[in-house]
Amino acid sequence: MNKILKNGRVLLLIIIVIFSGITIYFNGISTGLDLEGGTLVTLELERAVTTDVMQDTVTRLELRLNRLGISDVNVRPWGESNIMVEVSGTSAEKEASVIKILQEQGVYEARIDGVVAVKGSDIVRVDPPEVRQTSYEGINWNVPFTITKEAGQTFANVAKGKGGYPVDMFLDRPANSVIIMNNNMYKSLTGLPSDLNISGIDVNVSIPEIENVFSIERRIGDDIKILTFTDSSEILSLLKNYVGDKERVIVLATENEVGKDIYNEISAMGFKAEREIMSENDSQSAYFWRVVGLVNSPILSENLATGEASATPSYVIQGVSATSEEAIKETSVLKVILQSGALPVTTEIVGKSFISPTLGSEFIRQILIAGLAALLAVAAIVFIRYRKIYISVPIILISISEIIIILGVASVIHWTIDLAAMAGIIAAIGTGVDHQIVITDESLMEKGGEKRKRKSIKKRVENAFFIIFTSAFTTIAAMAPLAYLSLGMLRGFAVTTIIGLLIGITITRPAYGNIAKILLKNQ
Amino acid sequence: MNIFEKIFDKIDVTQYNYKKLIILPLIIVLLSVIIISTLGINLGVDLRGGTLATVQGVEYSPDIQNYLITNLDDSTIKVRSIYSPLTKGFIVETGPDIDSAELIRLINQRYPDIDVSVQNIGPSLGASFLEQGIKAVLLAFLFMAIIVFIAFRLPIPSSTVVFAAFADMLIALAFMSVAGLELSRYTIAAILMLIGYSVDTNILLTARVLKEKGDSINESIRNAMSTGLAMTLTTISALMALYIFSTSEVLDDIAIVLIFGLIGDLMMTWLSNTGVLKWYIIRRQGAK
Repeated sequence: MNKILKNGRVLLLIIIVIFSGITIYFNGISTGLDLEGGTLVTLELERAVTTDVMQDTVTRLELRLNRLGISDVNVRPWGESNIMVEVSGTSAEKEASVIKILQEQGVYEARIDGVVAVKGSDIVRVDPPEVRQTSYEGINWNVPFTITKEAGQTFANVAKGKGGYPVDMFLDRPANSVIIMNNNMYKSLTGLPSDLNISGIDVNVSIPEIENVFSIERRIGDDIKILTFTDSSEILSLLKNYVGDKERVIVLATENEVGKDIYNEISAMGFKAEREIMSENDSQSAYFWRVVGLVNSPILSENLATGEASATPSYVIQGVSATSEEAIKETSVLKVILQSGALPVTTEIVGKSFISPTLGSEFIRQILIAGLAALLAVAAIVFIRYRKIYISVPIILISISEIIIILGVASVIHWTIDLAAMAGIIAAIGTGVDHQIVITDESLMEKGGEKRKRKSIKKRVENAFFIIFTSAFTTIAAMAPLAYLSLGMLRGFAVTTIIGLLIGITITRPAYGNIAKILLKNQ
Repeated sequence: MNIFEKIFDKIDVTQYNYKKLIILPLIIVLLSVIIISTLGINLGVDLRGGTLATVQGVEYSPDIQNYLITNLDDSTIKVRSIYSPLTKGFIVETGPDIDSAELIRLINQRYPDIDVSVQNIGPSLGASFLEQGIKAVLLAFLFMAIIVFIAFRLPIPSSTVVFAAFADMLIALAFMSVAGLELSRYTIAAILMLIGYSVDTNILLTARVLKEKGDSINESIRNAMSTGLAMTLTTISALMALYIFSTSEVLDDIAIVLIFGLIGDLMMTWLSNTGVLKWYIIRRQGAK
């Protein structure tokens, strides 16, 4: 035993296993959507696009999906004409909202004191943002845009006398709906602070200071009604007493606060019920503004509040950022908002899956049991074959350590473990056991070889390793195209198998070779 | 005597005429080709487009299929029960035109408060998966062949290894046709894995026979077979455990295809390849 532990290769293996264990403990392993539950949507673009256009499309989708308040939205390009949208840990309700956002055009609307001033369809052009370095305040920037002449008149009328008011810019505002929230939350709502302003082009900007007294109910527009409750049992009677023609009801509460029964009852009353849950880093106000789709509120400058429409209905949104990176980020977001989040190419949903979180955790449980059963089955066969516990135990221990190292590597390189990757781990372990049997048999042959002409120990081990290396490399070669082509999830399978095989031939196989040599020599 | 050795003595292939050994696997390969060309290969939902819904934790009743067919007006809907000692439930498979929200609603009407997982793949995405899958298999096969040829540098033994891998794929595909298993992204992965596993035992056999100059051919083959059978048996038993306990389509499909591919591989390696190698060595020795 001592001799085994002192062997360099074995020591290396032990150190790597411990290191992997520590990494897994502290870093964790990111599990895939199919184990965690969530929504995966595959979009197909109408044509193959360049990397720039692809990136732009991805950014725009992300911006619009942000309003769902899910921190774990992952939008990534897949090839030249597909985009995958992954939203982890979603409920069925949330999935519907994700699909809706991906399917529908964004709707932009700017309101002053609750009255529509500019609609997305009014905007003729959004010019490239200008970013200027100024010595003191930081980076000045502005985003110019032009609306139609008629819209310019409307804007002037709505803005009349409203200098210093916030111009509330909404993206995907939930028009014609009832929002239900807790009374305490309602009381704590405040306006979104904004240090941007909107003014005409080429005029001196003067921003009147107005105390922020604008009522939230006015600002969101009169087709959105807020109903507040102190106890969730009041909700249904509040809704019954409310007379209006709203079709949507948005509940701003968790299931603990407003139960499923009440929620289902709202649907039964004929409303399209939705539930929005506060995300971790939301404040209550941010949560509310996100739900109503308020993305920014630049302050209206005095010169636009005269009631006179200017000859050219062009405006600029101005702001200051600390760094030029921030300026570029802020201006590009504003640009996307003004363009209603419109995508540069049309997209179509070609695939979607929804995995319930319970099914995911059920899969993990099953795999753990199946994995244990598989290990026991392997141990049994190895034991029946060799009849010696001291051969079976190391083979199983090596397999377990291989699993730990693969997971450790996954943890270090942030590789996601999903069902396909688990299949990859199983494939790697299966090959690993096969190879250990080859090593064991070669070593055993060496021992009982007096009766026949035997080769040297060195030659034997070389033989075993020739077999192992050739077969490992053929498997890697077979998996490589899959890792490159990536049929969605199968990439995880191929890459994980390759990682496992590489760990096998570099770390665990040499260690086992040495263990076998020492163990069998003592017999 | 060890059980393993007892069984082994019964199936020791070296006692048979090597020419006869080649015939049985060849017949099976031919049969596989006939099966595949007559029955065809069933494409899975993810390759032809359609929806797959998984419902777990409920009792499966066979009438659910008719219920869904009538309500969704899609006669291609198939419902199958999940077999696993760990859970119960069923899987619904529909054509590409079914609205998944509607499907969930109908299932929930029958089984309220049950989570339904749904996977929907459009026909165009399915077609691109299929195309990539075929490409992956062809490339994998090509790369594998190159490595085998580099490793052995002898045309006949190398070709035998490559042919065995090819035959294994055919046998696995034929089995899938007969058993009604569908070719999906996951079974494509299984077929690729099969290439890896089948090459393992073939390389073992070829290496032992070609490099074991001290032993008689029969001795080398017996040694290789004893190692190779242990390898394949451990793999098959591990896959059985996976198949029995997991209810995930991904893992189940991979496991079952591999199990049958490996059974095919047992024949290819220990009957036909052994026969060809023996014939090759005897001829080579005769030439000297």
